[in-house]
Amino acid sequence: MRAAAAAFRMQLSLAVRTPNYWMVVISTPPQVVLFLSVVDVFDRPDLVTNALMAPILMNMWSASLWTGGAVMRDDRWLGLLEIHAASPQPYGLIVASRVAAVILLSLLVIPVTLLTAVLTYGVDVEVRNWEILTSTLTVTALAIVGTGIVFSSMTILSRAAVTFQAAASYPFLLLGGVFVPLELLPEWVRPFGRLVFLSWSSDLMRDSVTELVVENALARLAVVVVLGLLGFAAGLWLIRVILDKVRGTGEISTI
Amino acid sequence: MTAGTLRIVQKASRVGLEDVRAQYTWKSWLFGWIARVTAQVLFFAAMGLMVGGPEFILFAFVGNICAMAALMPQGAGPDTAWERGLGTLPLLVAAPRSMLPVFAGRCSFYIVQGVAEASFVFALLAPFLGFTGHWWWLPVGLLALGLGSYGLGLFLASINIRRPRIGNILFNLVFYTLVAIAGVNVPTEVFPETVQRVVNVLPMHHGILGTRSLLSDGPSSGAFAELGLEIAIGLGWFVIAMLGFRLFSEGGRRDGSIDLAE
Repeated sequence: MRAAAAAFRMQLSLAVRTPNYWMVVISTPPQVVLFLSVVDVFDRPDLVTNALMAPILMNMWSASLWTGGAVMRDDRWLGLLEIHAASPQPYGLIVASRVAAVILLSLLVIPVTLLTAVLTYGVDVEVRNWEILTSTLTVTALAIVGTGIVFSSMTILSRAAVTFQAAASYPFLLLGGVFVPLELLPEWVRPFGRLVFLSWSSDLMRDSVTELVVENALARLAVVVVLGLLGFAAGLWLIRVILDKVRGTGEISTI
Repeated sequence: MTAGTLRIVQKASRVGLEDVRAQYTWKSWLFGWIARVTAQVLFFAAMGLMVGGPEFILFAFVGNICAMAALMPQGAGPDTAWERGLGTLPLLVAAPRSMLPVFAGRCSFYIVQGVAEASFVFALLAPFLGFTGHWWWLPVGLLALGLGSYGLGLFLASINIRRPRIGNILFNLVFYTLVAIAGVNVPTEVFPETVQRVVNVLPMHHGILGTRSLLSDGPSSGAFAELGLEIAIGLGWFVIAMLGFRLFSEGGRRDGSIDLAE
């Protein structure tokens, strides 16, 4: 746990000083304008919540994917991957802690989204259910960290894997219903979408803003937690197995 | 332009091509990159399932295909700035020839890549989304978009080379801003006049208008005028970029800061 805490602190101070880690915060305002302009053109004020949730979830998810990949790529370049492979501490946990630090920073996209919405379209949102919204955001942020490392794990196997890892961005956002809810997508897509924690998170976040009483809130929150934990467990396992494999073949520095 | 300059442009673009080839295997290109951009286009086209219906699905589809062709050439900045990371920049500055043709050609392959990839994703999705129109004109529109965006991409590169650390941020900010306001998902007319004026001197807006017109009505003088304007805007940014590179190299040579600034 001490190693995880140290990794978290180190990444936080690194991220604050590195412009690339601010990328998602900078990309947020144009995306807010994009979604709000669509809602505005079709005169659908009832969809403002969708337009605000979409950039928040999009940017947090892409921060997780990007950071996981960048951490491993940088460790490889700096020759640290070999040391991590030799260390008794699980590397997956270190990567997850570092991703968690960046996700903590990426929560800034929430005020940036709200501020952009106020300044551009004069949006005034009233949240009906703060408890559910903040709990959903918290478990979603954790699930984003946990699931993100599944896709970064491939970075150890191949230099080309950064491309595969980027491939997890929009398919997940589409299946996760971050702007268009899953129930509006074709019927055959929906079961796949329900396996993606984001689909539960985005529905719950929208409901918590628009509805006074959110149905089955606890059960739905539990699904996000379970899917997030499953992703985290799968990520830790994958990283361990992949590191073991390249340690065995002696390819860790040559891939 | 002399034959020597053209040869340098050609060699530089070959370096860019080899960079792209080293970056991908065919599997990572198809199942990684193409899968990602296809999902990206679908993500925005799917907005039509919630608002606007089939007409909006196709509007956003064409707009996002156009944005794809602009994406790669506009991202020329970070790659051009690699010359600093690789330590080749002082050599370029010290060489007797101007380094401008190197920068002009370095990422030009992205124009071809953008046109090819956007056409490929269009061909994959168009039948499923019910597109009917003059699809065979698409590459023409995309090529104009690629040329227009390459000029702006090089301008961003001329800033990047001074400030490599902000390269990705700058590109993301400019690209996403253009995707929001240049007519990709909603017509530019819905934005305030100031925004429309800004969009008018940036690439993408005219290219998208011209491409939409070619696809729906076939060739017309109006469509070609828009595409011509797109290329002219790109050319304008290209000239500014070359001036920027020149100032950078001359300033750096004079005070010895070429590899030290930032």
